Amino acid sequence: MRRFALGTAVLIALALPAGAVRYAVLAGNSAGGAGLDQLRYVNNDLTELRDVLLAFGGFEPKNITTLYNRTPSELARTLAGLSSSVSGANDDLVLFYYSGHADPRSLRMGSDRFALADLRATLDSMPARIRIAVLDACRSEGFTRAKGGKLDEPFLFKEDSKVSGTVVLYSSSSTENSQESDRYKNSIFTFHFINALRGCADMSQDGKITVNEAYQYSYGRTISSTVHSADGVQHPGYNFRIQGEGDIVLADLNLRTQGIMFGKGIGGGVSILDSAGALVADFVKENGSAFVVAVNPGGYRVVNSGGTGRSAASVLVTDRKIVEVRPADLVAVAVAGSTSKGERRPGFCLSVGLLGGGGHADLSSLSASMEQEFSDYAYFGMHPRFSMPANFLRFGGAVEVNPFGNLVLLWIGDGFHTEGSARYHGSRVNSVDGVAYGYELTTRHDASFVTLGTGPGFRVTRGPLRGLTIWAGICDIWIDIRVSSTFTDSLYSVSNSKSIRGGGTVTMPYLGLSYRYQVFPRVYVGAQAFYRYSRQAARLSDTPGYKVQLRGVNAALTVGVDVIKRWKHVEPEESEQ
Amino acid sequence: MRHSTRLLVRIVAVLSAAMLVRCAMPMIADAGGGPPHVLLPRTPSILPLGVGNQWRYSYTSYDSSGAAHPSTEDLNITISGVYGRLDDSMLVRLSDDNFTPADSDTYQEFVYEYAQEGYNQGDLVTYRDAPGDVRGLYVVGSFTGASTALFDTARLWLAYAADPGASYYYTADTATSARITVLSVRDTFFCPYGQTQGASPMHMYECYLYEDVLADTSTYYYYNDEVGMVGYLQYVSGIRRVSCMLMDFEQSWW
Repeated sequence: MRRFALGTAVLIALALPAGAVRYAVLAGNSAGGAGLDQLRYVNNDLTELRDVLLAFGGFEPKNITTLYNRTPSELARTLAGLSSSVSGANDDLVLFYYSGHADPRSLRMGSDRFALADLRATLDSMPARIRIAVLDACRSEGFTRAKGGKLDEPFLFKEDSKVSGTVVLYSSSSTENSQESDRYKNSIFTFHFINALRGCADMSQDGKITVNEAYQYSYGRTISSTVHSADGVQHPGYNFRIQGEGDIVLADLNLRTQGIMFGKGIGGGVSILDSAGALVADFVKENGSAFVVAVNPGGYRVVNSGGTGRSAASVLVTDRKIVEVRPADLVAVAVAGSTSKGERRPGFCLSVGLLGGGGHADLSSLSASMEQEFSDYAYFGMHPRFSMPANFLRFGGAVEVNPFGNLVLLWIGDGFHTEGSARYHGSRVNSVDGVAYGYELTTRHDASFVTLGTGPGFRVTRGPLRGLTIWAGICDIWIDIRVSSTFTDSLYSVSNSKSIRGGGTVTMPYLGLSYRYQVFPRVYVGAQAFYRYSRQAARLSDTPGYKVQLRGVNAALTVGVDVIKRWKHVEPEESEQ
Repeated sequence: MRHSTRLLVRIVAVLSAAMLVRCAMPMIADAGGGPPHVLLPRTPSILPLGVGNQWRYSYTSYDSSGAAHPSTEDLNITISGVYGRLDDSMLVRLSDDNFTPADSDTYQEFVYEYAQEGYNQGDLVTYRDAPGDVRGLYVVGSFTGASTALFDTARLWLAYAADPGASYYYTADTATSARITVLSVRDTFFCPYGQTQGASPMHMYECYLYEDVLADTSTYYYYNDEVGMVGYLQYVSGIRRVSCMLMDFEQSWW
């Protein structure tokens, strides 16, 4: 594990010396060019970080430049202009922040790129005493819209970087994705980094958030937020090369004008939501310490997930006031529809499977149709039977598409076959000569049934019944029937054969229940049962004399592969009742 | 082919009795185009009469011990032409060119050529059911090529409709007469021909059963009023010598 250790020397807070000026360039780009998803929350990252820097970071508005969806040339011009403004003599500090896609050699700004070597050179050339780069960018794929491209070496600055007086914080390690969160509405790393500056990282409780504290807080929270992510755990890292001893103060909470204090006795997870329900801060608090989180004036909902359950309180923060939340202020709330932290929920999924099992269908109407056709042979004392089993084996396949959530679309096909043959002998006394003559009838029949069903299903995605699906839809059953027979008449010395092939299609509704269990991330096994219903026997279109009733139950075991499978990372959501 | 020829001779003999009476009013197909002969007359009876009707039989002969001849043969019977009878001696051969349904009243009756396919000779038959007639199929003469010869008296061949037990003599020539008896009007016969789409190789018909006795030869004919003759058995001195079964029947006009 890579932990941040800025040094064992005594850390001297580099507060905000007189005359020092803090400059920031906050850049971001939602697009990364062909093959990369559009990022959703880059603008949020830039805006919220700017607010925090203005509130607690000692930055003046005129010294913060925000570049959203701009070109590399605009970024280069901005950095060049900044170089001319910065002074090393005044202990100036430069913060460069980037949120967007990247690859091993460049920041990907839309369809253009900004070379990391150029960025490094530009930062190195700035005369500022302290240069801080915070880069939230990495590979990108999937619903979480992770950032960046495929990396074949550690991201951004290498360990042998010669940058002097520069601290680089980056959001993920060499082969990892940096991820966005729909719940945070920020990049995960940036969300925790901003929270750190709000005060969540003030482990020393001195009111100052140092780079060390901000990094350690962001590191731990980013890992815990992504530990169950389908994109993998995201490990932030750093590159530190600064001469002298000391630490760098990124935010001074003593500058804050208002906030929420969490007193002793409140421990566990704490979420702060604004009046619109948006998550403002989310952190874990030690029970034995007091804690202040700086927020803007307004109404907030504080939710505490402690060891005894979940409780919440409403807080109104006014200008230049610190509002304290005490344990007594928290009221227990019920939780509905919540998910465990970091739970993966399936996103779009295309599955292909095989099935095999048994079924039951009353084919007596079809047998009766055939037997009716041969009923005249009773004249010779023969009673042909076309028996067909009511229970049969069935094999087939299924394609499932789970576009989102609980909805599943199913295409299922299976089939079964039955056949039989018989030989009958009869005799009859010829009325004109009084002699008994023999007759023989042989029959052979085979019938094939192919079912193609389609319809939607509702799948349980959570809880003990997870994987259970209820289906309803329509199925078409294609029926192919062949019947052949030969009759031999010894009185007339005639033998005659005939064969027919016919069939038709029967459409009927079905109801189904299935269960699937994921034995591997992309492999599942399961079981299913379907009931097909028809009120009466259908007359086959190609052979009008034949009727068939296929009402019955099918059951099968299934095994399949998720050919395309995407997951979405779901953070817990509180719902108070 | 020797057996087929012998059968034809037999059929011709059966057809040679005649009695002249009015024939049944013909059924006329609708005008307005269609297959050939669509306008020519047709007459339903125990033998459906219409130009183009064609029967194919499987014919088997047996020796005096009753053993079947090792091979069977096909026998084809056809109605090759139709005539309009103007008076007792005048026949007009009808064709699509000289006949329309409106001409039906011009003729006393319609007479049909009935012969083995490929042979240029056969009998002239007609159906009569006028009051005073014994209803049935009559042989009124013969034809050879384009020439026809009418008998002085039409000879009753197949009484229809008739009651079981009805009996009469059919005179094939001046020397011999066969005694024909209606044994049954609802007998059962199975043969391969059938219009159904089903899988059964044989189809059941309800038939008139005629017994034809001439000296030591007894022949039993099965006739269905929609199909005609579906088969027959012939015995000589009580030994089965011929069996014949309908395999296919084509009606060109419906």
